[in-house]
Amino acid sequence: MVMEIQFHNVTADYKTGPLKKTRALNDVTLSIPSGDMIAIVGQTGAGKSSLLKTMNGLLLPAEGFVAIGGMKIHHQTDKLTLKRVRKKVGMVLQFPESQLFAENVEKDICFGPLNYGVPLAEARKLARKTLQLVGLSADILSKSPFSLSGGEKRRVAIAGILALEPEILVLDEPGVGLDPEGKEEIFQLLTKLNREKGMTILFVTHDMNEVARYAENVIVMQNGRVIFYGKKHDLFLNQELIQMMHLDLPDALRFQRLFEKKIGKPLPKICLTEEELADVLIEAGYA
Amino acid sequence: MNYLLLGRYIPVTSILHKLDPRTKLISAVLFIILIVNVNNGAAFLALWGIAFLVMYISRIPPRVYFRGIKPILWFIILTAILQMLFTTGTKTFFQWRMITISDYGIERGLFIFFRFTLITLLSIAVTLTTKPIDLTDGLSFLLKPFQYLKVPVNELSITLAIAFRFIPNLLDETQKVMDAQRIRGNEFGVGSPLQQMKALVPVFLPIFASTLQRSEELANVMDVRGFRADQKRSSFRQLQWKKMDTLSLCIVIVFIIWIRWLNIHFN
Ligand SMILES: Nc1ncnc2c1ncn2[C@@H]1O[C@H](COP(=O)(O)OP(=O)(O)OP(=O)(O)O)[C@@H](O)[C@H]1O
Ligand SMILES: [Mg+2]
Repeated sequence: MVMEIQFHNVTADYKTGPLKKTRALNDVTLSIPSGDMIAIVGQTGAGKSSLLKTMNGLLLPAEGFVAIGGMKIHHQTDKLTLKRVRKKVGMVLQFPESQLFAENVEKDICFGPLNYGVPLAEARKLARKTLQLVGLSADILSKSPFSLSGGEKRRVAIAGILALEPEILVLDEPGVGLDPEGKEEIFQLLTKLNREKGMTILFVTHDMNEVARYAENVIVMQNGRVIFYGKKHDLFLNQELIQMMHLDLPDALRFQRLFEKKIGKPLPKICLTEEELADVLIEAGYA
Repeated sequence: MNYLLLGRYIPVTSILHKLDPRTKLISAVLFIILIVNVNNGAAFLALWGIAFLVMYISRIPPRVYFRGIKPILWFIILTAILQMLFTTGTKTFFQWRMITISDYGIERGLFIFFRFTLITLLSIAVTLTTKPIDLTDGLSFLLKPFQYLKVPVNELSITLAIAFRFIPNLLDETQKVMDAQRIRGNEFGVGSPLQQMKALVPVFLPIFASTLQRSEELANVMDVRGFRADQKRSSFRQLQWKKMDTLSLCIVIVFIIWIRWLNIHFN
């Protein structure tokens, strides 16, 4: 199924008081093909979270509209359509563990599917399946979600979204606050979902290494606008843009630049990850 | 979703904003005592006039105030209707078993409605124009005399200050958890009242959990830093009583006497 996401001149505001508004998105036009794996980067307050929220109908456009697989989100989309959108676009908020509430993990994961009218037996099956998918054992189904570790909580929360069987998954800083291993596991899961199930995945991050390792394409945002949308290589090669947006380089590329400066000549290929860099160094005869 | 107005401050420049919190608190309390005791139309009319005057000089549009009443409007209307249905009077318009609608009942119902709305409007006026932190300072100053009655005023004020401090966090968090559950297909404000209440369970539980956890963390931090609520402490912010405050209180008292007079005179 094709689930292209299209933003047409989308502008969105938050009501910041009874009298004031804050602009979060400013004239965003964007077309995201099905099956892509995209990182969204930009400084604090750039509008990254807001971009995700408009895809899920949590923040409605003040002007323009978002089109997702035949459904349209605009400033007066009805609740029914929004519910249908939310079934298609699974969203994992920042620190999703704050959504856990049920007395045990199974009930918590079933909560979403049940709300969408999935029969209980079916929902239970989904709970088992998604829990396995996120790499947790079925033993914890009967445990209280509050008794789990931080990383486990996060994965249960993600399982709760995956149980909705969305075709698009958007995540707000999914790795933040986890240990390196926990982060790695989350991103392995995302990569698997993207490759094996063809799920479109968008994730927000501040870590350029995550961009380098896991994303295909990158969206760079500033002041509610999309400044760049393209291949990650094109972004990291564009030094002017990197500087203007106050972005870091991935560790491997930074090392490569330093290395090239010291030896006085460029390596044959631009490397974004340590693995690539190691291969290139071996190939070029430096090891 | 930002409908919860009590406890929210709107920073604009007005005379009301500049007044000392103590002035506003004392005036509000005086007015509330007055409102509870008023029982004739002329006095209520005058009180409504004063309510609109207060809204006007606060430089905050009345619609903001009325939006603040909205969440409790049904409660107010229900109370008023109950009064109306179960009070007997001289002229009876309708009677069925226990239920009577009489002239006196209608009057009582209307007055109850006015009392609640006026009190809410005035309380909203205080919170809209006073920073929460000033409000606590003002309150703890006014509560000081109760120390002699062995009321733990210091503890009370620090508790209040912390509570006010965390209102915005709580609102933000509520918003976030509501969003999170909305994503999972939870719908708010649809269906029967029972369904609507049920929809709130997945919001309140995580918030209770995180609030408990946060208060424990806060308590630990305060302990670690050697905080003792029962000790005498000086304050970084000083309340300043100005001429304007004395003047305002005088005006308030004049108004109150006037309304008392109206209340007695037109009975
Ligand atoms: N719930 C909200 N209420 C009011 N204003 C908000 C809210 N959330 C975000 N904003 C404002 O909208 C703008 C965009 O915020 P957004 O959260 O989308 O940024 P972000 O790129 O996700 O930042 P961060 O990296 O800090 O998460 C900011 O100016 C922010 O202050
Ligand atoms: Mg964000």
